[in-house]
Order: sequence, then structure tokens, then C-alpha cells
Amino acid sequence: MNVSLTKAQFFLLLFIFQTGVVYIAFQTPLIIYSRNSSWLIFIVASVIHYGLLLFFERYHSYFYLNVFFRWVYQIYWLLLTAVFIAYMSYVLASWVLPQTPEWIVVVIIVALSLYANLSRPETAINIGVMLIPIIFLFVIFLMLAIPDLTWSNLFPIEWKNTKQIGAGLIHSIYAYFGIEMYLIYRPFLQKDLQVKGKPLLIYQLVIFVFYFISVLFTQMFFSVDEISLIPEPIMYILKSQEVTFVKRLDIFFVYIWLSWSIVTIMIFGLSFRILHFIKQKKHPTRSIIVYHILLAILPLFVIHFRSIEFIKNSLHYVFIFFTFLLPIVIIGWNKWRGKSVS
Amino acid sequence: MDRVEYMMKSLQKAFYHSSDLTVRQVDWHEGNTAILCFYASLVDAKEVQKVLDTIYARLDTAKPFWSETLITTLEKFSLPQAIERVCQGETIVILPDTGKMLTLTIVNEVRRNLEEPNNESILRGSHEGLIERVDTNLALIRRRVNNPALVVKSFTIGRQTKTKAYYLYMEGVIKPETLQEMEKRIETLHIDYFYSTGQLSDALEDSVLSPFPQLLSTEHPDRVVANLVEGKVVVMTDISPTAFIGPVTFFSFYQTPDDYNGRVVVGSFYKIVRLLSFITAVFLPAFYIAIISFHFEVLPLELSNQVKNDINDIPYRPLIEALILEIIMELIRESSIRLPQSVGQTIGIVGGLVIGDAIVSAGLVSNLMVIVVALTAISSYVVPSVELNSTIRMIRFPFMVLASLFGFLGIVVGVVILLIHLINLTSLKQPYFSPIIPFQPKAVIKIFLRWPFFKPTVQVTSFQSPKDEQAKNEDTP
Repeated sequence: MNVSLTKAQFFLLLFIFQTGVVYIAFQTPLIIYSRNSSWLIFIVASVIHYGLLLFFERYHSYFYLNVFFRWVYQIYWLLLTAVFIAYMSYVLASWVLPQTPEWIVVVIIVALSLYANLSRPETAINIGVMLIPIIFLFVIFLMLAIPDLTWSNLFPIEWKNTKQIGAGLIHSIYAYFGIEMYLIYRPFLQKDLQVKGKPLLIYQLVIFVFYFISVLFTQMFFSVDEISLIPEPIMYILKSQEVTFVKRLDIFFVYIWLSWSIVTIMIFGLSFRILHFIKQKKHPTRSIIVYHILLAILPLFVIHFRSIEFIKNSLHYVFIFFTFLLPIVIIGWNKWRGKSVS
Repeated sequence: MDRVEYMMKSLQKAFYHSSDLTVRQVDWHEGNTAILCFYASLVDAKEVQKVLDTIYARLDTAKPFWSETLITTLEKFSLPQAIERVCQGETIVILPDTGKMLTLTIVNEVRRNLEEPNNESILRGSHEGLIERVDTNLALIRRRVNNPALVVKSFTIGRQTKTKAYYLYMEGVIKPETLQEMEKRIETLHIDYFYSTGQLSDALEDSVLSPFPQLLSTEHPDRVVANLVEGKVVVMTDISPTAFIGPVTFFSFYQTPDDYNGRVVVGSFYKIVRLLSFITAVFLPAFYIAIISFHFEVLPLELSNQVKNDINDIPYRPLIEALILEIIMELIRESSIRLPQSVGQTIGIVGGLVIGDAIVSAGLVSNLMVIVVALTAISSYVVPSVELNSTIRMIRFPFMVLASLFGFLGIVVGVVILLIHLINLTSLKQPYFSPIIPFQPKAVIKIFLRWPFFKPTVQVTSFQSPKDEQAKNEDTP
């Protein structure tokens, strides 16, 4: 596939992809398991994430995927996208569209992704630019909650319970899932551009600050014991804000989050395209359509409260495997064999 | 039948015995005979006579270059060439004895005055407008660019009509790929009868079925010049005052010469107002429909009580209400364009005030809906381009339908589809949604603010974004 990315496009793609679906909800499991120490554990998780980014940057050329691993990742992304679509449909049904059949929402999301992916690759790469102002809006309106925050919720920090720290770190992975995309898109970066050093650090700082604000706000807005009742804490914080011009601020932000998540789904589609068409194949349009038909069918099996909860409680193990372990194993194996991406 | 008589009959036959064709036998030098042929409708006969008298006088003095003047040429006679010359409004004098043909270029100029274009009013700056004569238009442009780098190339459109047309560009400023693309499209023009500029824009645009115009049309010579120095190519024809400019971006349609003729701060303010008007023009009715139909809870309590009181007695769904008013609005607009100007204004007042008031009193639509539709109409007319203005008025309808089906979700769906379409769109194969896609932060600021004008900006040529720090194509090369 003939695509070349600039640094801005590359990092924007990663940012939208990593933050898209999970931003409103990842705080809950983190705080449930880490309690008052969540913010500190999240800082540690971010340092680990940065270390992984540095590792990926150094050895990205060894991330060569053979046919088997290409299929593994394609199936993983297909299933992950289907789960995300199911979750988006579930959130919409709980927050704003209780009467609308869920399959309609699924079909709409998939149709938009299909349209974007049948267009040239630059469309899915660049469409995230349109989200920049509305993401800023998200953070600005979150700031309205500052008077309601309780600073004492951040303390006391418990740093002795290893089990708690481990569980917190594992659940922080929701924030940094999908970092394997770094390895997928890195070869498409324009040849003469350097990302190691300052650009990578800036990216890490931006995404860290963006997430860290949400962790701090959630922890300070809700008590540790009530957080288990709040599945999408950011939406609840926005819902509780009183402004003169609208009564339910959260409704607008549900749709902002939806647009953001739709773009994430499009980028998943693009990643599938990139892996699937790494070698010239016949009938590219047909493969994209088949992928989207599967995407429209698979979520329908999991759009139930129990299934969504089960997946939410176990997805981090999948992330650990596909986001951290498998890329490291593939890189190590290829380095040992001396095989790299040409 | 002698030779001259035979040639005259052949000429008349070639021109299908048109009534305005003049084919006449005239005496020539040293007792020879010549055939004079021209379209009386296109030629100033008195001027022709004067020039012929001059030619006779030259022949009598036996000057070697008797036929060569600024408006006459002597060439070998051939019937197809003679037909082409006469069709272009020239006069030919056929000399059967020598097999030659004298061509006199004395066209009866029918042209209107240089008036300000009605559809592109401006407050400050030049009020001259292009007209339906391309040589006058070229003069208006050349007068503004006293530089040989302004290149004018001619071509003909219409295999049968053979209409004269020109494309212009600034050598050294235009990107070679832009020029090549335009020349390629001009070469592949397949039009038999050319009579409307719409045919030309259809043939030159990248995506004819898109609702968005991909060539900027203008009748302002200063706007043409402003675009030429930004590396764009301009196409003009001899039958219309409209000049087509390409490649353009979506935001080109929001610019007006007034932005740059006024103060920096004022120009910036109105640029922002105009761009924000796009949001109200497209989304306001859809937003209203979504709130009334799906998301009533977003309204503050005081406002929601008022809205409830206002819409309680309306028998129709908000979409039908909006459609009734929008269609009335379109009818008023269409009728005021077709009628003479004085009557058109009356129709506007009658339509806007009388029908608006009556329709609310009759309980067909709510007061709020009248406010929404009126605001939307005003916002849509803020766009300086007639083409984009029509597009905006049209695309609000699908948004209204989507909002009535899915509320805000419908609007989100519409916005995503619109964005994907705009990102996919190209003008002469160059990104239409630039500088947002590909993203150039410095150029994005220029969309909203009118900087002190020192250097024109040249559009990017590909979807591959320029390198991060140094925005390629940012300034004129």
C-alpha cells in the first residue's frame, strides 16, 4: 500500500486510536483495583508505556509479520473492533437512545467505517484532524468540575500491597492498548523523519497528561467506594455539570465520544487493510466489504449487559498478550533470525 | 456557368443559403473579378468598404505588400478555411484568378458595458466585471498584471461551434502538475455544441456528481488576478463573463475581495463570521429537529416550557414543519430571481412577512421554526459564492431527514459522511479540504484570519502532507 506519513499524522493516528473508545471508561477498573493509589500507579504504567515505545522505536524493523501472524493480528483486530462496536452501541443505548434497536446503531457505525475504508487510505489517516477541536472541548468542559473535586481522595497512598499495585498496573493497560499499531504504522513514516528522542517524549507526555487528568478528576470526583457503580465516570462528571445554556451537557459529549470512537473503528479498518494488502491481492474492495459484513454481524452476539461486563473484566489479559507480549516475542524471534522489515 | 459563378454557388451551398450571408461579386484590380463573402450579422460593412478602398489604392500603386495590414492577410484559398474564417466573423475576398483569399478581420463588436457583477457584490475595490468578450476580459486582466509571466493560451471548445476559449496562468508561480492536469483535461474535452459554461465546468471538474463545486467561478477581474498569483489556472470563454479558477479548496469559496480591501481586523472578523455561518446554515434546522424529536432534555427548564407551549398545537412533526418552511423559502428565492428586480423585492417582502405571519397564525408551523429557518436562510446567503451557497441550501435537507430519524446520532452520521466526502474530494487532483487535510497548522490560521497581505499562499498539490515543521508550498516559490 502506497502511503507515507508525516510525524504529525503518525502520532495523531496513534493518539486517536489509543484514546478513542476507552477514554470514558478505563478509569473505573483502575480505581477499583488501585484505590487511592490509582494516580501513582497510572504514572508508573505510563513510564512502562514510554519504555515500551522506546523499545518499539529501537527494534521496529524486526517486527516482521509472516502470513500466520498477519492473520493472527487481523483476527484479533476484527474481534476487538466487534467488541468495541458492541460497547459503543451499548453505551448509546444506556445514555441516549434506549428505544433505537442496537443493530441499527451497529450497521450505522460499520457503514461509516466501510465508506472511509473504501476511500483512499489518506482519508482514514487524516480524518482524526477533525477531532482535535472537539477533544479540546471535552477537556475544557471537564474543567467545570474543578470546584466539585475533593483533593483528599488522592490520599493516603498505599504502596506496600504488591497485589494491588500489580492489579492496578494490569488495568492501566486499557489506557495504552493498541500500542502494537506503532509497529504497524512505523514503516510508513517518511524515510527522513526521526521520531526517537523529543517527538516520542512529547507524544508520551501529551497522551499521559490527557489520561492523567481524567484519572485525577475521576478519583477526586467520586469516592473510592462509589466508583464501582459508575461504569463511564467521565460521562457522569459531565452530566453533573450545570451550565445555563443546556441542561444535559453529557448528551453532547456522548456524541463527541461517539464520533471519536467511529474514527477509531475506521483506523482499525485501515490497519486491517494495511496488513491484508501488504502484498498485492485481487479484489481489494471485496475483502474490505467482507471484513465490514463480519463487523456488522459479530457485535450482535455480545450486545448484552452480561457479555459486555464479562468482556470488560477480561479484555486486559488479551491486551497484555497482543499489545505487549506478542510484539516482544516477534521482535525477539526475528532479531535472532536476523529477519527484518525491508 | 463560369468559374466565379460556380464558386459563389458553392459558397452559398456551404453556408446552407443563410439569409445573413453576403456573397457578392466585386471588381478587382486590372479587370479581374473577386468574390466578397461575410456574415452581415457579424461584420461592420461600412468598415469593410473603407478597408477595401485602401486595398484598391495600394494595388493601383503596385506596392509589393499591398495585402498586409494589421487587419488583413493574404493566403491560399481553401473552402474549409474560408468557412472557418467567415464563421469567426471575418470577411473574405476570394481572388479566383490567383487562387488566393484576402481575409479582413473587421468584426462588428457587440458587447455590453463593464458593469459590476450582480451575483458578486463588493463594498470596496474594483467594481469592474468581466463581460462576454474574451479579448476585453484579457485586457482587464493584463491591465492589472504588467508582466510577461502572465501567459494566455487559446483553444476552441465545441467541434461544431468552435467557440474561442483561453486559459491563463503565471509562469514561474503555477506548479507544473497543475498546468499539466488542466491541459490534459482541455485536450480531452469532447463537446460538439458548446453554449453554456456549465458544460465546461462539468468537463473540467474532478467529480461531477459531488454537490460541492471544485472550480471557483467569478466575474471579478481582481479576483482572477488574486488567484493567478496564487498559482492557479483560469479558464475563460468567449460566450460568458464567468472565469473558472482551479485548483481551489473548500475555503476559497468563503473568500471575497472585501476581506483584503478592508482593514486586517475587520477582514478577519468577517471571515470568521462567514465560516461560522456554514455551521448554522447546514446544521441549525437539523439540530432543532433533533432536540424537539429526540433530546428535549437538553433544554433548560425555562426554555423547554416556552418551546412546549409554542409547539403544542402544531399538528405536524418537526421535520414536516421544517420542510414546509424551507420549501416556501426556496420558492420565494426562485421566484424573486426570475421576476424583474422591482417585483422580485416585493415578492420577497410578501413571502417573508405576509406568508410567514399567516402560516404561524394558521397553526401550521411554530414561531420557533420560523426563527430557525429564517436564521438558516440568512446564514446560507452569507457565502460569497453562488455555487457553494446553492450546495449549502441543498445539503441541509439530508441532515434534517437524518436528524428526524436518529436525533443527534443522525447529525453525527451526516457530519462523518460529509467530512469523508470533503476529504476524498479533489480539485484538479489536489486536496479540496486543504489546509485541514492534509493538516497545515499555519495555513489553517489563515483560513480564519486575514493576515497583513504580503505573500500569496500556494495550494498544496497532494494528500501526502508536507513535512511537519516546514510547511511545503506555504509561500509562493
